[in-house]
Amino acid sequence: MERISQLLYKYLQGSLNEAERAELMAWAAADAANWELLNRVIDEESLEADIQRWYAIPRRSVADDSRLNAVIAQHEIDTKRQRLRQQIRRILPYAAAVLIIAFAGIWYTHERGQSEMHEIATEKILNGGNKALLILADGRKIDLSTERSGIIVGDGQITYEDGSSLAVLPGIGESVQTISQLELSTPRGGTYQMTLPDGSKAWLNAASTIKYPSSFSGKERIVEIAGEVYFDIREDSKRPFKVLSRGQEVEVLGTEFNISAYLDENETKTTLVNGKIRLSLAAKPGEASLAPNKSLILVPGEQGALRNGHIAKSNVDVSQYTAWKDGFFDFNRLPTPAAIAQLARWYDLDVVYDGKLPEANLFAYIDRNKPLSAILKALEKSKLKFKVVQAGERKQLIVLGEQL
Amino acid sequence: MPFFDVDINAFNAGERKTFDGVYRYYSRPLQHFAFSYMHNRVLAEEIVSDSMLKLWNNRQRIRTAQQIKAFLYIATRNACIDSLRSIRSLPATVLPEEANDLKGQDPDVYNRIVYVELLQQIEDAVEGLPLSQQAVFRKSFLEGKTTDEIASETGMTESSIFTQKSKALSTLRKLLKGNILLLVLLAKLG
Repeated sequence: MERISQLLYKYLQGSLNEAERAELMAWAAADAANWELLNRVIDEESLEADIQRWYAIPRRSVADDSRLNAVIAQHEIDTKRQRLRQQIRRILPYAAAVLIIAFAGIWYTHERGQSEMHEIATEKILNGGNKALLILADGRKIDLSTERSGIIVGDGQITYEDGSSLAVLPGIGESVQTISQLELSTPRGGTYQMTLPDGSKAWLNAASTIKYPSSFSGKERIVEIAGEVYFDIREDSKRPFKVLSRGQEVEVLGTEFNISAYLDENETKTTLVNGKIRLSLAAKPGEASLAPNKSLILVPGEQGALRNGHIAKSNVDVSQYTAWKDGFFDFNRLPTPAAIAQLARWYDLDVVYDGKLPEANLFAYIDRNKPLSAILKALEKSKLKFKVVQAGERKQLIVLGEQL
Repeated sequence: MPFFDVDINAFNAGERKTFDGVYRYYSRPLQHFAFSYMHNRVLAEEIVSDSMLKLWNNRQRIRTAQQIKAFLYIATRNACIDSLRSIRSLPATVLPEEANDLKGQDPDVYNRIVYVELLQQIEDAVEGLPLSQQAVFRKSFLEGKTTDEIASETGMTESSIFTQKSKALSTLRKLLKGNILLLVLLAKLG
């Protein structure tokens, strides 16, 4: 309220004090218009008329003013939208971050899925080759050349087949020979050949190990193997040659044979090519000698299969057990898993079976020195389908089984 | 209080509740103010509505509650003058609507404002009465109705209407003691 309004009201009330009355009169005297207003207030008839006119004016709110009401309503909608926009703008960085993370996650899992499981052209999966690790007695490890295929152990040193020196063995020139235990092992997809100190030869298939001394002394020549090794033993009637492998012992005079003693297979197969061998169960610790009833003699063409502590003898097509040494897969009515296991070792693959395998055994004679595609193509004739995928760091051979 | 108090931030932001409070408070005195120029209720109402819309559109320029009052009166006055000029070709005396205070205005304009504020104070005094007394006061004084008419409209007995009147008048007597108006009223109602 303006000051004068209040004074006029007090005048009507009759509650003006002296100072206020003086103030009102001074105001009234200051201007003719003021004097006129005071008189209008004093004139009860005009005031009464104005009071009635005043009350005649309806009280109005925004709701009664349709135009302003619409303008305010529009403003409210705009404000709401603007607030929403602001909220979105505020949330946007976080939402974007969440989305980016989500997409990254999807992308990552997708990519991982891709890298884990994307199919690989089998032409690009190359065959195994000459790969081996020579482990000396002192623990030194020597990666053998892939350019060469074999080593010769003897005369206090180890050389490649072509005579190039590889390692000098301790105790050279000394009368009392220091015999050190050596080890040669091939990885999956690797093969190597070696000549033992007595001139005997050993061919290591993939994922195989042979432990042998730097020289053979004493009455026996003893080596120990795991995996698959083909032996061509130099005949020496005074010093029988013994091959130890999981659960068994093979004693030879002079002969050629193959032992397949992979730890991941439940059978150890000893296949005789030439000569004669005695196959025995390994002596248990504390047992003085082998029980005679637990050993058997193999003649060429026979195979001794050790399974669960029992040896069974059978006639086999020898070549399919030794063909690897000459660079072939020879599958002749071989159960599919056995054949696939050979592929897996040579091409360094993990195997997954997906579907029922055909009852029929496999027939194939394939060059090992070809890419996987060639092998699989040959095997597909036996109603098998294959797929190779990258699963993390490993490649996986999926055997899809019989395709009806 | 020299002016209607307003939450300026809410007013600037265009909050309906705040603006509606301003509208409710100022629409009647402004309309009476406009009427004092226009002598036409419809025109007065239109002008006030325009002033309110102008205030809304300029709400973000307002800094104090006093500016709201000044804006509304000056805008309404200008609109009235414009309107009258178009009717009667009055001299153009457009006043700045940015004024903070009304004291510097032409005494003619200012006194019109003072007058509507006086009426506002009388209304406020009546508003202070109990509702039953207000009703009787309005009907008898403002609408000029007789006790019989009021009784038939409200269903109240004539004696209770008389009681309410007496109470209303004694309250008003205190509010407007010594005023000639009261004597007129008493004479009418008595």
